[in-house]
Amino acid sequence: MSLIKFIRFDIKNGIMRRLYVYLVYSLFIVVSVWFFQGKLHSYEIEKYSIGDCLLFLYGGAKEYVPKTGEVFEMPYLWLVNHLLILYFTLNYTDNDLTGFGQQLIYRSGGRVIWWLSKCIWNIIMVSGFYIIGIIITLLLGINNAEFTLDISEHISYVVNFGDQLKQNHTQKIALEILLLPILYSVAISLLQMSLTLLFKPIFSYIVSSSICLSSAYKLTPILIGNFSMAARNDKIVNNGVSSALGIISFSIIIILSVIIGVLIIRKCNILNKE
Amino acid sequence: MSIVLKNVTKKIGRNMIINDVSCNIENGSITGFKGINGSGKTMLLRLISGLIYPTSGTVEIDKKILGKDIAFPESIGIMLENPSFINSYSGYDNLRMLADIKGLIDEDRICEVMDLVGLKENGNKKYRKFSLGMKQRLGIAAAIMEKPGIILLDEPTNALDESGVKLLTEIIIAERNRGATIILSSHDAQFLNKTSNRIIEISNGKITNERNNYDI
Repeated sequence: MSLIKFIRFDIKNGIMRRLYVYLVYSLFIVVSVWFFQGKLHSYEIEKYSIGDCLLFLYGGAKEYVPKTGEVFEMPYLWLVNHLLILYFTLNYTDNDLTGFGQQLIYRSGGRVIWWLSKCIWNIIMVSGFYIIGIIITLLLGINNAEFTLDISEHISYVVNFGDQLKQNHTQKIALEILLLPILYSVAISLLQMSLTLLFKPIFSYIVSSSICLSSAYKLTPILIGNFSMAARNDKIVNNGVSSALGIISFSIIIILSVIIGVLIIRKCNILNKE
Repeated sequence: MSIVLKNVTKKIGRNMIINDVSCNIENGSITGFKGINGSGKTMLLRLISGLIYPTSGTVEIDKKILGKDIAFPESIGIMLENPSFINSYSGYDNLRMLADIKGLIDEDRICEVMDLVGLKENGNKKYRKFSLGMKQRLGIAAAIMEKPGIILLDEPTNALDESGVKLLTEIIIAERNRGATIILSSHDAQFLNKTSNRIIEISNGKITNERNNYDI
């Protein structure tokens, strides 16, 4: 069976028949954008750029340095965004492998092709969330947003970058506010998916969400979530993490997750959900 | 297609599910695995299907080792306990989706099989609205529709009424006459006696008794 047929099946059953997850995600984005616009209004800022809004949604929060008087600022929107995406991509693969997918696998004559199709499904599914995020941001910004990914001077009122903010932080950072969050979501979601081949989905979700939570708490390149936060990027703040290292890290995780999945699926027991 | 199990052992975690099972299953025969729930019948079928691989020992299909030479038997139809289909699709659409993978059969054959298992009238009904017996019939239809060389049916009489069991028996005999190698697992001795050339009794993952059924 060709990979194309599997992908077609996964797009139909794993995306088109589960459009409600995009609806739930859309609600999250709409509420978040309204919240952003309300915050701008409270600072009496009328105009903003699409880049500002995306930075607010996906940019995370400043580094937390434990010291007297410093309160940990949880990057709620960043966290909810990733936890939602991870949750919505959690069960499909496991359900397929323990259900209808078994009939597809033995008919296809190969296990690896099934896995590769799931990886492609995962990338398409995750990208879909961000495409929806961008579309909603554009639609809700028609009246008072500039359609540019440049970030405005006044955004530091809305997103707290801390005292490490660079002088020239309004430079073009499209890569940091858009590509890195997408790559992070794809990487962590693929990692989670490969873990579901070994463990129950709930355990995989605990692992992936723990990476997100710990990344929010501590700024270190080892906790890869930091690379996806523009508010912790070295283009914006002085002691931030590098985009290039982020891209390399995410690419390694993506490739490793696919390879690990191939190795597991070739040998694993395909059993019913029991 | 011939099937040879050589010293097959399967452990899952610390549980020994199948313990050193060896047997030859001849081409074009009907073999019945008989045993109580949890005896290891379903696991043996999964091992033969290639959905799981043995911890030790080998399963050979036409002299090709599963998991080494081939991932799955080249021509196989499987109905394992509680067959899974897509709830929001009709029975017909579920079969069409499966048939699309190999592209061996056309829509006429799908209709023919739906008719054969007694689902012609309900072909366009959503799977979620199927009764247990109808789900079982659809599982059987999926297993036989592509005229595979090997057919594995796990507890095929589950949820079937008397007429359903009679129909199933006729289908199994017809498939055997076509040349398929058929393996059944059931706790229903009467059904196995009516269909199987050979009956292998399984208990605690081991073969405890084996006999030819000369009535068939």
